[in-house]
Amino acid sequence: MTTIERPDEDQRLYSVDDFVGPPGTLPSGLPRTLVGWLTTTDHKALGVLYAITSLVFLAIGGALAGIIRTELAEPGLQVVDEATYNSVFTIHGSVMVYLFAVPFGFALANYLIPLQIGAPDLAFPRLNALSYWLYVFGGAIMLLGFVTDGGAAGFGWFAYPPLSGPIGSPGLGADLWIVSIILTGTSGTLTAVNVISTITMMRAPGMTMFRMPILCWNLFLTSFMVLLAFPVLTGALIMLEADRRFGTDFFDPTQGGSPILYQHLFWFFGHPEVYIVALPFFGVVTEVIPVFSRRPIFGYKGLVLATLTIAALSTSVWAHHMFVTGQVVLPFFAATSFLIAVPTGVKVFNWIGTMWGGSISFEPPMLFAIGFLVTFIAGGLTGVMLASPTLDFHLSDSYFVVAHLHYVMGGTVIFALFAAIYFWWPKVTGRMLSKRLATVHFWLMMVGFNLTFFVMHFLGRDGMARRVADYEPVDGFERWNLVSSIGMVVLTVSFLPFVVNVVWSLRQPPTAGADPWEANSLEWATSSPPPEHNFTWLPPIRSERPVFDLRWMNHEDVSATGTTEAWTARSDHDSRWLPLHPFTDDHDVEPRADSRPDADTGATTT
Amino acid sequence: MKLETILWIGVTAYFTLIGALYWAVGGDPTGTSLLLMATGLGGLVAGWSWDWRRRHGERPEDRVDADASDETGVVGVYPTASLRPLALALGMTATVLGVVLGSWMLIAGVAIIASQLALLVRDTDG
Repeated sequence: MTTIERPDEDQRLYSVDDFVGPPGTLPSGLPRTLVGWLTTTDHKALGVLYAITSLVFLAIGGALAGIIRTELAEPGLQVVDEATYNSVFTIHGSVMVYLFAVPFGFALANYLIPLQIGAPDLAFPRLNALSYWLYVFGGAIMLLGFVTDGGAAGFGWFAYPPLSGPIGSPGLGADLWIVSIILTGTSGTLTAVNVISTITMMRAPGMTMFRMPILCWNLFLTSFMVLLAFPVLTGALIMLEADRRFGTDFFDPTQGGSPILYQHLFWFFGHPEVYIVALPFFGVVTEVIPVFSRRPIFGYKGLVLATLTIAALSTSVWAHHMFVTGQVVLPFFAATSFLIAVPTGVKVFNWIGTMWGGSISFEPPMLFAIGFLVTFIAGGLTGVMLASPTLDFHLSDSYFVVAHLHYVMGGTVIFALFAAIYFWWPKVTGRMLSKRLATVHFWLMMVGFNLTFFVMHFLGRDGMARRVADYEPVDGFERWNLVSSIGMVVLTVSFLPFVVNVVWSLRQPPTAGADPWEANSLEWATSSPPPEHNFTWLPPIRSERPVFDLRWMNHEDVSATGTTEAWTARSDHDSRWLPLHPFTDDHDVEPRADSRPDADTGATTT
Repeated sequence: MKLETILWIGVTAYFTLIGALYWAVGGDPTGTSLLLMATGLGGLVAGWSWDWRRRHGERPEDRVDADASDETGVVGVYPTASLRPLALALGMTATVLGVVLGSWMLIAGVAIIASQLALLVRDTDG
């Protein structure tokens, strides 16, 4: 490598704070009053609302999981009866999938997409607010089921008829569950339209598709899958509700209907749903790993292509959930299910390739990203086993499947979610979280999670069926169940350091600065927390790492091709787009006072 | 817009292919019609973005050498805070709940939706 000669002062790295001013220069764009929060159409406020609401649902779903694990800790019925147990596991699954995991992805989409592509907001802000409120009301209705006669729905999160039909589940709770999913499904569809429109039409100049952060790509393709899958579910549930209320017979075999039709419709939604949950979180770790490995992402286009392939294949594997019905084309669905391991493997390869030879620092987001990799690979491997019909016939509806789905949908989501929270917390609040508490949080969670769910593989292998409230003390069932329940206690305790950390952090002054991690993508080019409509100023975008190029703009051999030219062009022709500190070699120059934003109003006086 | 168009054409092509393959190996009408509807979904957006590009050409966000100054002036008008989305969501919730709980709620829900929609379209800035 040749070294380019340059004067010492020219070697200086810029920081984003040189451009947007010290912390607190611009006021936060979030509402300040209760009415402000209720009427807001701002994507950042709605993103924060989505995140808080989905974390509340995580707590509710976690509490229900606590009831399940307490009941299963030893043989016999101690805490709840069978009917209540059915309601508890149904609402646990439904809350976790429909009201926690998917909406947290939408929280990321809301908050981050406009910031990462350099837009002032999503394309349809009021539609966005409508989606959020539909989700809140839909979620509340599902929980209302617990106070109806006969309790909440008890047919499992996929509501197979005839159990979910008018005879199998006569209670009002089942109807409320169906209505709730129709509402949240509509909310998801509207958000997906919003995300696709925003990414297609609202990118900043120079932000080509192949310069978008991988998270934006993943959310874009996720939204496409939402458009494909959610309306099918909504349709299936309207048919189911019509069966229950209006006497139609879509799914009643005695009247010529077909329960298998429902299963097809449900899983045509249900399998893409798994990837709708997972892809945003893949995007999160793809943002985190390069920053803390101090390397560019390895194989950017490969990752985009892998996501595309996963999105495409995930819509053609649905019936692998229906192997045991004996009514599906086994070779087709087994082949497509095995194929999906290839792009997933490419992703894991690229993540490891990014870390390889990098200067890794184990900041909290990186710890959780690695935790994500561990659980995701463990869950992916059992997925490949379950994709084989011969093994699936044995393992279907056993605790092996429960272990598998909690690794791929539970572990990956929860670890990547905390990677996201620790990573973007300074951006959202302007404050840092304690690294020491976060490390304690990570290790407790890693131990607790694996203790809870790994032993479920043994339970399933030995033949324990899922969705049962009681079991016989045979084959070591009681031993592994006790271990799993103890793991659940550790997992619950692991949230304590996080809560303490959040409370502690919110009491500190907001001094984190615009770019505390020295990260890459465009959201770090605005102040923390971002002002209303996000950007007062944008750096030139010449690669998928505009903020990296900004820091290194004096180093032509490091920053992306064209960066220096773009800055020179601004300096020569268009001083409106220059930073507060002029682009110059002379570092003693005072900031241009006339263009510094007013601290109270955020208005720029030029 | 070129890349977006190619992407959506790819979606259309993929679902045509996989739909045909699935029909050939299984003959299952449910899955085949779902896949063919996905073809339509992809085709719709592909056609729209193709037409958009034909009318308006390439944009600054598609050029690798564009900078912020290439897109100045009024780029969009953003709505102010509004109570309508919340009220509209409440009306939609009441409507679907009305199917379950009784027509009184259905009527209330439809009334809320109608009034809020009327207010929403007039509520351009506040």
